[in-house]
Amino acid sequence: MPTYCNKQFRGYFITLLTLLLLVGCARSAPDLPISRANKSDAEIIKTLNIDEDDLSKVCEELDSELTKVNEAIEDNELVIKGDRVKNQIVGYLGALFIFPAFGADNNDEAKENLSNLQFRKDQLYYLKSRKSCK
Amino acid sequence: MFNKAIVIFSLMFLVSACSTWSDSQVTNDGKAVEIASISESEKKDPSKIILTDGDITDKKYSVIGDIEVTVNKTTIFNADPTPEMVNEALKEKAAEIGADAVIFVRHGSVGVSFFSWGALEGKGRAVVFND
Repeated sequence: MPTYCNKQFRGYFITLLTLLLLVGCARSAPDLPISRANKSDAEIIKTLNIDEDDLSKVCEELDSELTKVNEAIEDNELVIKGDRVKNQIVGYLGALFIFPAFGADNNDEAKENLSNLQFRKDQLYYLKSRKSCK
Repeated sequence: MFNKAIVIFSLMFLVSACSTWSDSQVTNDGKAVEIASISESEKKDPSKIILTDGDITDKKYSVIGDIEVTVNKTTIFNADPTPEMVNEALKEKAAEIGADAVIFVRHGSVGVSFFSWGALEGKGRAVVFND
């Protein structure tokens, strides 16, 4: 009678955990910006790490940068999406034979870019609202 | 043998019927918002919830809380969850807590999570307009 503690089960469990680490992990949604309720402008500017140069930008400049940030987000998402199909196939094969799982690409660079771009987007939205841009 | 086949087909039917499942939570200042305390009359129609990746600057609003949802695919063979599915889940949650809009909406990237072969997370701030 097999038990959940036998060697075979443990081996399968370790294999599954390894696959989870290798086959393109999900990226969490970036954190939300701090709520402006009961916060002074100075506190928000400090938390959002906004510098003097940003504060001097006009609405048109902020809009133009926001467009560029959105385009960069799309580009990075396409990189991850492109590798997702490959990672899925690797995942299916990896579930049967471990070695294909090593071919998965976790897209760490694209994921980090997306987090940084989202932070910039939060800064730009704050600046737009501060300047009452439309 | 026949019984085994019936069980397998029943399981396949159950699994294919639900291609995705989701979980969600609402917090305000790190504390969970009690959804049970919201009356039926305060709840909104999900289709009328405004969703934006930015802020709303032309109306005054109060923050209800931060919504976090994750849409997971049920089996390895189902299609990956999409940002549209996450947006729908955000709208449903927002309606449940009586919000008018969800601002600062953002998504993660689809990938393997501890509970699913394909999970996609979304976050947003639920707000209610001040009349």
